[in-house]
Amino acid sequence: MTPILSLQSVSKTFTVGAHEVRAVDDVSFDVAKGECLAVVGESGSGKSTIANMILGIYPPSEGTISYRGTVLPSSRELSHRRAIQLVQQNPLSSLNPKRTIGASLRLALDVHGIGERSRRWERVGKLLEEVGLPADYRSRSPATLSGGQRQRVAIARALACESEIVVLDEPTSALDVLVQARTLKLLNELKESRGLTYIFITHDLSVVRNIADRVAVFENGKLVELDTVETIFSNPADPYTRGLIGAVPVVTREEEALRTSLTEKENNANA
Amino acid sequence: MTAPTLLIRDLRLSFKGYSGLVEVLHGISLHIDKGERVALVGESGSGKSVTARIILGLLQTMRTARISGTVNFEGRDLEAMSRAERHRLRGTKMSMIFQDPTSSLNPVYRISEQFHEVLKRMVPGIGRAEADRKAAAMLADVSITEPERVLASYPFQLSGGMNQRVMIAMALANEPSLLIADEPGTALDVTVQAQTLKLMRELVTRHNTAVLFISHNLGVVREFADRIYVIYKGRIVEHGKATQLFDNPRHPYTRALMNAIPRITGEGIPKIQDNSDEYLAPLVVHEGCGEPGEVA
Repeated sequence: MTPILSLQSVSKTFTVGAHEVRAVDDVSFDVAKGECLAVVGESGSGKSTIANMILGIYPPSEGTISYRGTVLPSSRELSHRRAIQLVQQNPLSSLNPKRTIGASLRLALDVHGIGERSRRWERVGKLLEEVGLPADYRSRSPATLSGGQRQRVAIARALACESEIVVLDEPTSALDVLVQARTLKLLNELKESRGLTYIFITHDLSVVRNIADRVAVFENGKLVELDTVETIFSNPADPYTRGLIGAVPVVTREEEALRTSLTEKENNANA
Repeated sequence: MTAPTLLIRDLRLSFKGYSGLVEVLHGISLHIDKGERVALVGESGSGKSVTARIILGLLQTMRTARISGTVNFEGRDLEAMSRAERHRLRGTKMSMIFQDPTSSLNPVYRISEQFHEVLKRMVPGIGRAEADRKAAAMLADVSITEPERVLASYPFQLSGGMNQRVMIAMALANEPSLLIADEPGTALDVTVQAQTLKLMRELVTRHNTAVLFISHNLGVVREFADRIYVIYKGRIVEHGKATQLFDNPRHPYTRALMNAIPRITGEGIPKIQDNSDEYLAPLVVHEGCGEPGEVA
């Protein structure tokens, strides 16, 4: 079966003044339909650059990105935008403060010509209900919503054009733990009901453990480890991955034990 | 017995809005002894940050805020102080670290100038050279290897983790007796956050600084705090030593907060109840954790 998304030896070099920065260095991986692939790493590891290339915001310097077996052109086409959508970290800055929630969602439908014109307003209401908000939030402005509610609107907007792949860029790190738990639950339900594929960018390994199928670990633009979530957590091959797991703030003794066992392995490796 | 560094008794706060009074704090009591690390944990909107603002004396200047109850800082009633006196306390005897270090430093001044401002709060006549010398020593204390380069930089030239350390150094520069840390490090990535918290813990232990640590994440608090207050909708719902609270969370809301954190041992996405009536259950105080002057 062809993977829904495939990266072949993708690199990205930015020129900053006189010197070049290699943000992504020879990265290849496939994403299967319906899976949730977590992309983890510290700030500056290249995770957002990967996401931007997948979204077609800028093309790779080298290598190709294919969607359903077809190489994506360097200019961003409407069909590409429709298939792959983004949910950003901060919903307050990603929603236009001057548009009502309904107008923001409606715009996505208009741009992609989805549904009959006369039925679109109704469709906006349905989208809101799908993400657990009342349909009459259509007429409200983003400022009147809480952070968690705004993030739901951003998710609804990403789904408005019947997208297949959603790139989630730290979707819950601006939310408090209770709201985060509810948002993750919603994302999981939508993935099932719509058969979505997620590329979940985050540095929070505790979220990854519970939502992802596979994990890609990035360090300095390189893919250092890619494996199933079970393997990554029970037996991470790379010291960098162990460090990331060791940094997660935990609440139970069982977690503490897992963390310590990984750190000890690390110390033994260094000795 | 010496007075605790901070003693809050029956603090109430409401805001006057278009539709009458909105109650925000419904009588909270808490205390922090000298050199103690105490955490105040709750979700957004529970009243954590307004409590910090009252302690700093910032909310008192707002015309719409109605505040009652007592806040004693080192045995002195904040209410009885003049605005100027409260102003003198800030940045000297009490200081604060904010969530996002990059946006709380001024982008148009170099670190050196900003550090000078901070040191002038304590010693008004301090010269630039003397301030730089002190600042360099303090930056070295927070494991910054090239203090001179950092002092000559603007905040946007430094990484988030570096800015956070600069903030910590500034906050501790005047040897405050109380440090308020409002969600420090949540804007940073996990590895940097873990390093920052470890560093902060070492420093406050060494300087014997009392800390009020505000967070929504019990996991972050676990390794930092000696004692924890859990706050929900403007009421303290559980209070205990960190070990007591984590081994045996007794209030339904505390349990919900704890369950909300995804586990790295993998138990699926946390299942939590939405606003349950149980969350409004009365305060649970763990053994030996009564407020001073009250029967525990």
